[in-house]
Amino acid sequence: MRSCRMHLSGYQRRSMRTIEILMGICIALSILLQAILERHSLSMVTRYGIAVLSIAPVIATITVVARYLRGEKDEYLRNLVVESMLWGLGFVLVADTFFSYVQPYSSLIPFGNISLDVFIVTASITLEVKLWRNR
Amino acid sequence: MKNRLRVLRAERNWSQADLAQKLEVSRQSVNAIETGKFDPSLPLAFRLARLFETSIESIFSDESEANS
Repeated sequence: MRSCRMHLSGYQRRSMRTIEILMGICIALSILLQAILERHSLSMVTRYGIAVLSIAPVIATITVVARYLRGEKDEYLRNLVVESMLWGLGFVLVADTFFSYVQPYSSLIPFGNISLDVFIVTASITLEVKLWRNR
Repeated sequence: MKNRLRVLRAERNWSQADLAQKLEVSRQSVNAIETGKFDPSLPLAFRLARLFETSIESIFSDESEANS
């Protein structure tokens, strides 16, 4: 599958790298903020501040993807990226619905905290599979 | 949508990568168009026609029309 990426342009590779970095930030932020929330008794204002901080990578990812789609000249790849994102969104919706019933009875990390990561991973895997199938 | 892209490309001894470079698209795009998995937009169809110095109709044909 790595060979599929070798055919991508510099612009496509740069955009993917940015999204991967944002994903890393999102995971780190999710773990950090969750730890802070569990260990400290925080005021409502601080909790709102943390909530705002947690959505920053989500907004950044949306901005990066929108900018990529606007700048992508290859209509087929643009089509694949949109299809992959729909798969990612669909998977997040399914998983979110499932975990909303399971979460209250388990010690799992809240799904909302990792939904962006799940979305990006699912969309990335779908994109890689689609590129590989059409190699 | 059926197309004669593979034939036209073969006549010129171009690889998929060569054609992709001339069209400024990815090789996967050329493969997807050739195999009928993806129908190009009008601007890309015009670019293909210009590149092969022919008309769009001589490259692409409607499958339902071809069957009737």
